Amino acid sequence: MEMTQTTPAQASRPQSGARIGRNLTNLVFILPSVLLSLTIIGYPIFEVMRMAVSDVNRFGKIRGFEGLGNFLKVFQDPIFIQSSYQTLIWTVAVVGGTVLIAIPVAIILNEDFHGRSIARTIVLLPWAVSLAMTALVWRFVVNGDFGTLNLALTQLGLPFNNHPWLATAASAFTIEILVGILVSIPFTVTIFLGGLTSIPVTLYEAAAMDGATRWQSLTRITLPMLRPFLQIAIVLNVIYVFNSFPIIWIMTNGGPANGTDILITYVYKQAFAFGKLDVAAAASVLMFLVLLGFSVLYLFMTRQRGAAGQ
Amino acid sequence: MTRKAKRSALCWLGLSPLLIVVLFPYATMLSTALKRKDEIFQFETTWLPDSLYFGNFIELFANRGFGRALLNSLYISFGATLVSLAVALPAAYALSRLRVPGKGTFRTYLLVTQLISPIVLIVGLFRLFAYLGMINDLNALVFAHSAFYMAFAVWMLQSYFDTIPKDLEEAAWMDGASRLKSFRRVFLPLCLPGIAVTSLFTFVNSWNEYAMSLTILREGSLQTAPVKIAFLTGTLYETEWNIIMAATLVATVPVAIVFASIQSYLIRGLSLGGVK
Amino acid sequence: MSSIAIRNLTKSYGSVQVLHGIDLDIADEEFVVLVGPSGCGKSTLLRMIAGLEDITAGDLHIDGTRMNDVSPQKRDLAMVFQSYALYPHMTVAENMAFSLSLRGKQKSAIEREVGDAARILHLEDYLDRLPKSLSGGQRQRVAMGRAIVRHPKAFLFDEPLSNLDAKLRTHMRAEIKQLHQSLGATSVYVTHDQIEAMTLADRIVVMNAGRVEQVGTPLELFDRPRTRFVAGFIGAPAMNFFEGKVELNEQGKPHTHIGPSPVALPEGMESQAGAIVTVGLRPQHIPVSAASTDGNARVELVEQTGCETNLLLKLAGIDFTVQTRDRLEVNAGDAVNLEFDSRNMHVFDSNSGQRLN
Repeated sequence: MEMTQTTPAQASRPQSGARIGRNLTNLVFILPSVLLSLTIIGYPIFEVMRMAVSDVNRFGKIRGFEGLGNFLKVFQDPIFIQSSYQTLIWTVAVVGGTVLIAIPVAIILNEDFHGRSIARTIVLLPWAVSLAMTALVWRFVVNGDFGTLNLALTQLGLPFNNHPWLATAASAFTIEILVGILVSIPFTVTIFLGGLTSIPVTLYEAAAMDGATRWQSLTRITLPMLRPFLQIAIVLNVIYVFNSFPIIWIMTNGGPANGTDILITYVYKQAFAFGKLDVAAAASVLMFLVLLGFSVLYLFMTRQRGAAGQ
Repeated sequence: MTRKAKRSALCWLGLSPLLIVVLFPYATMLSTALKRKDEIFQFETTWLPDSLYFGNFIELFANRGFGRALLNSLYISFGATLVSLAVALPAAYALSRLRVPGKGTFRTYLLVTQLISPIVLIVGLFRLFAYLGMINDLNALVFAHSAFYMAFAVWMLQSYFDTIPKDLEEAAWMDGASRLKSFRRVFLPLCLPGIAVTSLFTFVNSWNEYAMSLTILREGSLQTAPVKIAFLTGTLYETEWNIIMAATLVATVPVAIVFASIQSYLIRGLSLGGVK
Repeated sequence: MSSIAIRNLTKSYGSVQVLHGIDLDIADEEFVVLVGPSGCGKSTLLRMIAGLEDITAGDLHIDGTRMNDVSPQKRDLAMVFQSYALYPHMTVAENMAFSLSLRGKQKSAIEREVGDAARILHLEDYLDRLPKSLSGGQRQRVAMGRAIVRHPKAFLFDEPLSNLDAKLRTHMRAEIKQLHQSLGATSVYVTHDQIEAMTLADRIVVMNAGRVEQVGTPLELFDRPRTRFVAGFIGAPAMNFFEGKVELNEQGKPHTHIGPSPVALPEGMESQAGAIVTVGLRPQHIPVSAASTDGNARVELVEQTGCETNLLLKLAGIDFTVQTRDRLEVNAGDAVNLEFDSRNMHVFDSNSGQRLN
């Protein structure tokens, strides 16, 4: 930029103006991403909220203002209450199980041993596979008549010939929770491995010089230093598991007798099986509020961590 | 036994229950996909098929339109990868290198988009694409996937960009390279690995997505591979598991190989910036 | 080659001002070193000359042309970075040829320039290697080569030797000096190492807290530091300081006290009786002799470097460092005699830090 050669005081003002101008033009770099997500994510949020307070027919036509009526309908639906309760069980069981398994697995995978990269690849493998296909394969594996689980158990001499795993809600839900854990482990292990590799080796060497046993350095160094990663893993997993749709949808479709329905399958059924778009939207808003709570928690935790890191 | 051999045995022993559970479905897939239909519904099921039978794969492509589903998936995944990269690259560059007003707000915004699940919004998404006349349009999924996977791409790219010293670009400027030239000749070649990993990750995510594809592509010929496979189940007693397992094998093995090849980068990428 | 003129240059980040009105003229072919403690603003000043930092206020002229708003690409300056900033995906030859090829020079001309630079820097055998397979010293040379091939208006060096080990640093220091003598290039060199500054510079700019403390030749700075800060910064081991009140004797000659004993001060000082002054004496300028029992100072520590002996002493509760080339037979706890010669004293106002003699 060509500037008039005048006194420094005069010259300095247009300069800083130019700098602010350049910072504003830098907005061009983030603008496309903002526009894309505002359209695809922002607008549907608005739509869901609008439908939640409207009377909507099964073809999506808004017939009038409904106020909180849809929410009232949701709360009066015993299946919604049942689904909420099952969502709680589902989320707590899957996240808890995932974290409990992922910590020792990550610690083992962080050790230096023969074939470690093969082991890592196998552990992370479920991440690469569509949840829909994982669910489908497991549905076949636990199939009572010709599933391979019963085949393997029978071959081990256990009395599981033709055991119908998905026939009762309790057993089906347990199986689904186990599959949920299995598919959540890779991401969680990845976070923990990232955390473990961030612990400097010299820390362990210093601890060894101070006389710490392997067990002591695990409990006194590794686990405390994993804490922030543990928090993040729990919150992110809660959000993902709370929203997890394909496993339950494909394995049991929420059945038998709504015994494995969670909120997300409840919403989907209301909208696309029963055509109650307004009720589905109201339930979505309720779920959205729960998620918002988790998000705020997540932001709070990352802020805190950022502050502690500086 | 050396110390390392002993440790290796212990580690594998400790991991073995999980490894078995992870690999069990693959054994199932493989064993079932290579069997004839009547062999599955036999009274006595076995692991090994009587003879290797590849008819399921032929059936899949010849009569079940699975080739079309794979093409649909490919189109969407390629498109979503390109679009999300196109918007995430400049955003990640700006976050890593430039002074942008509202940087912190943008980071928070990205987080929020990542925390909202597409399924909570499924009713709204359906309406959005209905307005746009894009129900039963593969491009709808291209944009939907790229919007939802963009945030992750920005994080991964930014964490990679942050590892490239700013000095290098400044040296290029001093050497007389314009901003665009230094980006193209110095910055871009150095971050190609990061871009490649991010692309593959986005591709795999898009390839595997189920709920949005299920909802927005309502016509059989437009279904993506995961949706198509789920539809093949039909009614409970007539489910042709041999065909389905052949299909899952075809749809998962290539992706699993790709994923395995970038797995170590994912750990690094996530630990550097993804979860920060 | 060119001259650089800096007028009242300031730099602020938001409300924090890091450079307060810098004035400096760098002549054609001159080698100027900016030196100071970390955080003094020397690197910021260099980066402002380079165009990598915005100029908040003031003017920068190169060859008489105002450069404030000219982008770094168009300033035609070469910079050697502390990290070397070698392009990791290019070979040594490509690294050096990069700027020339950007300018669209002919391939044969580029090859000749790169070949010449490689010969000067002893890099001929490494032209096809990637930077990661080079040693620290070789990388440093490539960074220099990248600057040389361009024949820029001026060279800018940002602590280029601080990543090398001590021996290599001394060696590269000499090479840079020789290079400057043969190329005669205007150079601005940033370092925190005062030995590097003393050995390399035609003129040294000592900076502290965003201000220029003094500009001068190495010997000017050593012999007549203008402020207490410069006195303490230049010279190793660092100058000794003690504080005292100026008194005048019957003949009107100034003196002060260390503990009970009077010490004569240089004549012709600009200070009044009763003023508080800081007196500086270089460790090399305090003659020391072994004393029987009644010496005025006590030895706390003896450091041998082979050539010299450094003694850390206490005199009237004040720490002194003395350097001598004599092989003294003293140990910690021994008494010694120190002499103070007013001709070697540097006297500063204790409040303003300005030189008084």
